[in-house]
Amino acid sequence: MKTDDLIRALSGDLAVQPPVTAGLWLRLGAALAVCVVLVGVVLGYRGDLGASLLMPLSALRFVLTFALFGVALHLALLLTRPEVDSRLPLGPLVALAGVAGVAVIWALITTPVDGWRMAAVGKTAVGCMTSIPVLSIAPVTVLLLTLRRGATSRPGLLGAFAGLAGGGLAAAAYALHCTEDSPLFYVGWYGAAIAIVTVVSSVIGSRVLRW
Amino acid sequence: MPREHSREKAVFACGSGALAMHREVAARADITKTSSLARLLCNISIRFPDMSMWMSDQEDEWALLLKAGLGGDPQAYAAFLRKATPVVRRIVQSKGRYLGDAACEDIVQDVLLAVHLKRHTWDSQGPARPWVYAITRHKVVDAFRARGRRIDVPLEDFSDALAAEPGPDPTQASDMLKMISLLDGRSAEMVRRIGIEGYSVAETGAHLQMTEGAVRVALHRAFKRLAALRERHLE
Repeated sequence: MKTDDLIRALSGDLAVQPPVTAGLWLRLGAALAVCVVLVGVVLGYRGDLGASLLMPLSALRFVLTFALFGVALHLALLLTRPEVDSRLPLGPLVALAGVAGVAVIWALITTPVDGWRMAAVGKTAVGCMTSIPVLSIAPVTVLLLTLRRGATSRPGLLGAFAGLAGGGLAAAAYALHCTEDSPLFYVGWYGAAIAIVTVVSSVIGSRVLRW
Repeated sequence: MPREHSREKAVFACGSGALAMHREVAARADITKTSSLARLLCNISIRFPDMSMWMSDQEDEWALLLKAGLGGDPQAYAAFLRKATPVVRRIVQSKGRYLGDAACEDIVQDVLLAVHLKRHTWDSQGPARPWVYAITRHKVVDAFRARGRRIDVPLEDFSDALAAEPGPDPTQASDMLKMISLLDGRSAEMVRRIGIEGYSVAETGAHLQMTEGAVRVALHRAFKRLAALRERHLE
């Protein structure tokens, strides 16, 4: 077949293609709903949920995890364009890490030194490290399936951002159950759980996001 | 095809900033009712003569053609693909002369198919060239990897390729027809009739007793399937 013949055939197919983001919000909303319901049914929401939202350091968990979701999703959507590969605006991600770092320092200052260890180890680290990755399955799956319609030049990196975003969402849902309010706990443990999700999603992404 | 002819003229005239030709083409545009793109180009350049400077950038020509194409103008879309093809071909041939012309043209066609199937990832506010280059680089590296060689396609290669004369369509590619024959009979016939025999979508629909919309949907599926077949064929 001559290339000009192919071009003629291709120009017969000009049906409008929906953008990569088509239906994304609906699917992410459904994934978040699944996470929230799962946390409620399996783990149970914390009893003082309403009151905890008024405590800045406790509420910060939601702020940080949702912000991580938003920033990582934004980066992921940029990366679905093939010409975007190295010049990514990573500033917001660094700023987010900075806020988490400041929260940890603040907690170190306000917690007596003998309490550091207890605050950091907590009582629910194992639950946290298993729940967040399990909960993230729904949002990460939704994200990877949606991002497959993109045309990324960096499948592994895109998978990692999908993992960060999905892990952030899962951690936000888990925070409805978790009563560990010290940044010494959640920055480290939530962070570690999200990091696991990110690595796994990156490995999956480098396979399924190829085109 | 008079329509296409005057469009090409319009693009050329606006691009080179030859004012007299603008007017001539604009006058002809009124008579022959050229497509929306030609009219747009001429309106712009007549209202804002300075825009011809901006038009002279080839970049914007690709973007304008692609935008008009995605807006449903098949001739503009074909013109865009024909502009991109020599650049892609130069890149492929400079990397894979040893593969032979037909195999090179296979890779060129893979790239065009990818450009087509990923057209929704183009940001229509931005330029088209970097987007095409990125897809080319990705698919060419992939194609050579599948043939057992790691290559690099630095961006400078594209500026070299740009200097290339857009030569004639040199060869038959060898694989695409094989892949088309692996499609189901109706899809294969559709692609052949529209591509090789040059029938329009409407004529093809009438021949196959399908509505035009149904032909378009089926054609889209056929291209997705073709891309998947190519991929599998390479692995």
